[in-house]
Amino acid sequence: MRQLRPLCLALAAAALSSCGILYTDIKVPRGYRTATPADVKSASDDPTVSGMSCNRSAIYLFAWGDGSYAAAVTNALGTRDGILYDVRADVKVNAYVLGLYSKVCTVLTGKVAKL
Amino acid sequence: MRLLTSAVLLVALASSAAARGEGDEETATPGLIPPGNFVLFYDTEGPLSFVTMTPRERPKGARELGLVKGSSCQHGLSVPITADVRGTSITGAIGNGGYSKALADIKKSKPDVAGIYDVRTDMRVFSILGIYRKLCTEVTARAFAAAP
Repeated sequence: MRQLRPLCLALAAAALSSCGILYTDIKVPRGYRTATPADVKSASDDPTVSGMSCNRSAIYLFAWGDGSYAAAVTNALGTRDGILYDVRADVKVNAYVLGLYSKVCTVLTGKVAKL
Repeated sequence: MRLLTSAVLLVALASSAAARGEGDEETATPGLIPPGNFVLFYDTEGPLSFVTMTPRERPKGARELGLVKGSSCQHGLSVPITADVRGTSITGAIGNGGYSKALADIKKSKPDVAGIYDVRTDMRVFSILGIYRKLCTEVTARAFAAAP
């Protein structure tokens, strides 16, 4: 058991950091200074949209995905040519079987103003 | 002592790739590639803070240039010197992954950019076996050119 302790810690570290021990290629959000209603040409009938981007990891060994702000904004805007304002950013985590498979998502909800 | 080292490693690893949210301009958390056990050399630059523009702060009459992207990277090499899971290794890191390099990258692709707004900053974490690591700062924004 004593020999297994470092291995357990390494696995825990991998699970916590969303990184894979063998292979990692993920994007994580860092910063997004969003617009307020006063910053854009907002209107009361502006649609509210939501977008999500995710990173995934499996068996602590592999991690992949694009959980970036950029991907979440692209996903939220879809085909609209506008700008997001009044944005709420949340993180959604799903982990199963002691974290053997996990999904960490960036969820953006906001309104779309015309440019 | 061994447990303490493992705990420090745990915290260091977790913080390196943790998703950091809004308020970047106030928290000023550096985005440096994590050094390993025995650092042979370390010559990198990473993002610290960047107070970006909102649409209202654009200069009047500025010409829209659309969506632009720029990135800058730090690279790290970690050579294991023992065959155990604690991963004692000799490491080195090099590269400029800072905001200024990412903005220079945008300027290189669109030389008439006068400024950017609606800026999203993300970090790309790439690693193979923990031996080669890459940490990139990716800036996605809307750009404008100076008024004609």
